[in-house]
Amino acid sequence: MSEVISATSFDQRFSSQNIFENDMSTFWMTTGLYPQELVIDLKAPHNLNELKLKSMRVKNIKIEACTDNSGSEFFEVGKKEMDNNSDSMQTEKISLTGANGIILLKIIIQEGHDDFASIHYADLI
Amino acid sequence: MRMGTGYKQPTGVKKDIKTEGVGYKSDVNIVNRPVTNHGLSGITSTSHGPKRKIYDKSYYLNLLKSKNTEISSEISKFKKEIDTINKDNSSYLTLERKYDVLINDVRQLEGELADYNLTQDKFRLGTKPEDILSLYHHIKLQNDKKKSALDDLFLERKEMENEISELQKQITDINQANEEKLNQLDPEQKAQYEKLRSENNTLISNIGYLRNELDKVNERLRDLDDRLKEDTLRQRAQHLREEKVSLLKKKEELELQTNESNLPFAEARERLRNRIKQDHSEILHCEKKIADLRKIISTYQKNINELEADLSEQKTDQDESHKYEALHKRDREMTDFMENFETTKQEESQQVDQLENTIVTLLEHMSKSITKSTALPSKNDVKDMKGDLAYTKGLVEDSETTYARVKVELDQRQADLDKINTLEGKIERENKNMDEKLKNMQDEMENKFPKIDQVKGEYDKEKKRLTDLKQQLAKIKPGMQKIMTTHSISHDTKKNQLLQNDIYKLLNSLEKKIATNESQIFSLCQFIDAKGTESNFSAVLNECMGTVHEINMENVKNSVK
Repeated sequence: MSEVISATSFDQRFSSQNIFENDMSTFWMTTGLYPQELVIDLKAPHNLNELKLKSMRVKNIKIEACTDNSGSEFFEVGKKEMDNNSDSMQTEKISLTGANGIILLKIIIQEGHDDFASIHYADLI
Repeated sequence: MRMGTGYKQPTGVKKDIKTEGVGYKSDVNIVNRPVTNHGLSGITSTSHGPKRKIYDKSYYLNLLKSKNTEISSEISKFKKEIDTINKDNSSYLTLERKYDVLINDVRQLEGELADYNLTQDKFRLGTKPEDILSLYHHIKLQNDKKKSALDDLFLERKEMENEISELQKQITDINQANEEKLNQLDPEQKAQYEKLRSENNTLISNIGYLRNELDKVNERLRDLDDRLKEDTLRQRAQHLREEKVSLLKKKEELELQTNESNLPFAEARERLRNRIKQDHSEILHCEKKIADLRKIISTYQKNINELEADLSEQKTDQDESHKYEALHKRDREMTDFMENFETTKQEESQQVDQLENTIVTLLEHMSKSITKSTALPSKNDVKDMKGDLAYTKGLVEDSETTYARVKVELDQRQADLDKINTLEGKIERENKNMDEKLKNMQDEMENKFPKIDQVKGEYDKEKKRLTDLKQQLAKIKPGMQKIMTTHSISHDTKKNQLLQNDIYKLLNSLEKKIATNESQIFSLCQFIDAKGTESNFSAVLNECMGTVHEINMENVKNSVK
């Protein structure tokens, strides 16, 4: 049971926990300047290959990972630049390289197509 | 190498020492060393070196500038002093005015204090206020009287002064006319005038002698009168004689009147006419007599005045002067009486009229009272009436006390009414507020209280939301703490790395250098600006150029010539 342990934006209506629900009406939304971060605790070491992401207005995204529980050292495992789909959903698959024995995963939205961006669903494979 | 301008030459050093500097390079022969009266003292410390040799334009300009600044500073000082003096003057005037006002106040207050002291004394002595009031009224009346008398005297004096001035004018006019006439007169007429004057003088002396005789005769007459007065029989006889004469006259008149009544109408009319004529002639005769007497009196008055003047000059015999004074007094009294006769007569007649009127009113009153006395009540009636009077007096007293009580109550009620009137506005406002509150409360009663369940549900929802939020935040909290710690650790390491970095150190030192350099540049700029303003020679340059141009022009002119 993975869960979000920290997020740089917090709004009770758009909780960061919503990213694990495959419901497009619920999402996590950024509420300030970029970059915005989300840290997911996987509770146990996992080997990851891919991150399926459903989002809106995200431009540049980077994924970092940490192998210990303390989160002392994150390293980059994936990166992607997304197109602007205007009002429609962005459905992307980000391949993660060298993401073995990972406990913490950080999703960093480096840039957005708009002032606000949202992540509707994140699936770790 | 350092220039030798600041170098002090020792007194005993040879003059041609090789030193560098502007002053030392110029050859100076000191012929006369400064020597004092009491031996050799050497060169004074003030003159180091041979001083300035050439006084150029800039030197004089500087000198002038310095003098100018001194003069301007002195002028500013004087201006300040003038300002202070002016201020002092204005303040002095205002203070003087204040002093006058205050002095007046002090005098008033002193007067008040004196009044208070007097009242205190009166209080100590235990004098009654009624006595003081009466005294006050008495003094006031006296003051008023004196005031009016003073006013009258003042007016009289003014009138007299005016009269005197007029008379003096007349006298001067007459004197002038006399002098003119005398000057115009022939020597014969002048001699006649002198003769008449001497005659006048002799007559005046005669008058004095005759007056003395008159006084003696008058004295004798007075003595005889006194004797006559002392002798009652003679007095009575005299009186009877006079009465007899008057009665005889009356008798004649009555006889004539009785004869007139018996006489026919025409004869009687004739007689009456004759009598009227006689009376008229008599009146005319009397009037003439009065006029003559007045003239005589005026002449006597004049004579008396002259005599008075003579007496005052001579002062020979005091007894005679006393007599004369007594005579003069009597004469004055007589003239006063004659002059004031008309006015006194009028006053007397007015008084008589007034008395008559009062008598008439008194008679009327008496007649009324006499008529009333006939309709007087009996003793019993009087007793009853007295009883009624006492009863009504009691009633009046009661009614007076009740009136006073009711008045006090009325005042109280009036005050209450005023308070109520003022409170009315407040009550209205409070009523409005209360109405609004009532409406709100009714609204709440209607809308809120039936929806208690709804409100409860809302409260529960809110509670749930808040607990959820708390849970969410609690979930995030440890992760955030972790990330915060990692971030802080990374921040510290980066900071340490930065501090240990050579480039950073270099940059820091360079920054410090830049700051110091900037401050130096700023101070130098300021210095340059100051020096620039000091050494602004453009005006002098322009002047010099102008003079050079003029000289050139003059040269050109000379060469052309």
